[in-house]
Amino acid sequence: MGEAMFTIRNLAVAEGNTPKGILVQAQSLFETGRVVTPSKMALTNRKKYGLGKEPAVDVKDVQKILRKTSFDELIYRGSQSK
Amino acid sequence: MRYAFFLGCLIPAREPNYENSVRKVAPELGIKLVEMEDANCCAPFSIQSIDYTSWLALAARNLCIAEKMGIDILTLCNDCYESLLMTNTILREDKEIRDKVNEILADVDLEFKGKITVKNLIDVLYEDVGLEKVRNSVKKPFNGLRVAVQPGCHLTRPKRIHFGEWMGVTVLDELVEATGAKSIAYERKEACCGGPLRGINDEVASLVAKQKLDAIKAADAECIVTVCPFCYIELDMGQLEIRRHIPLKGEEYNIPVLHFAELLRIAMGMKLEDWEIKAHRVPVTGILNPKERK
Repeated sequence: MGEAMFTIRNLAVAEGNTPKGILVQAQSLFETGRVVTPSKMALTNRKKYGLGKEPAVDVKDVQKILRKTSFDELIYRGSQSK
Repeated sequence: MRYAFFLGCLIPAREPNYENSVRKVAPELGIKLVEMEDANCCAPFSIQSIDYTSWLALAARNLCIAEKMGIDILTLCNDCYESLLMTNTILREDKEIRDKVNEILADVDLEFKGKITVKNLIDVLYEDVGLEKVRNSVKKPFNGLRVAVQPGCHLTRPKRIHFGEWMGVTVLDELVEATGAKSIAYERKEACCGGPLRGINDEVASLVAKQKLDAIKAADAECIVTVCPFCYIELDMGQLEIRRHIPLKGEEYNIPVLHFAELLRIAMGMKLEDWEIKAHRVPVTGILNPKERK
């Protein structure tokens, strides 16, 4: 079933029907290097629970890679489509 | 046994209870978790839907970080596992794609060499630690607790490059049974939890989750055990979400959901902290105290 969902999602994106949720993930990945970012409360709790800080990401390197593959343009185009 | 500990995005942000149990259980089994500095998102398959090369390059960046550390990756997330494992395999096998990705990575002074392996938690427990050692670590066995194992699609989907046909499923069954619990048979065991549809079509996601939960209920399971953080959310919080999206005909869902690391930790005789117990939307207290079990 996972395979079927994945294939349908690929087709939808190829047809210009990128689900909003995927665009939000892609934008977050470009801006923060992560698809899911922790809330302030989650970060405070990590410290409280003795888990330490969430490991940091060098966003500049992530953005260098994604600019080279024109990912930023693809996100923009996806957000402009139907 | 040292591993580059790849946490991914979801677990540190939303499921610290999963992370904490792994951090407690690992040293007891001789596993040393080495933090991966500067790792980015894995990247998940939703990113592959937008651009295949971007997906490969971002996943490869993480592989390069582990290569520099000189140790294999251990990831707790099925989605991260599939993404990193598939990228590692594709880049090792296809020189043309590897060269293309390395040209991109050169801009951040990295080069994929294909020197490390990507492992899921159950790979490490089953293949590196060994079932016998896991079994011997159990001090408070679950004495036949009826467990519905939810392996998750992404654990078995890399079967074409890693596991045998359903090996990922049976390995988790064996690990669950090493705690003294019983992994029960149920319909739709290999089916998706519905999670990939969450945020795209919540009604269909809830319908898929409901079908799975109904099958688990029909098999008289006392709890669900998974290694996938997405299945965990979908089946735990999903039990509360279902009624928001589907008109129910009197059905009630009250099946506790545990991460395998939590199950093992309890069986090892360690207690979950209050905050970890409260992290579960469906109460797990009945599992923690055998006297409360039906």
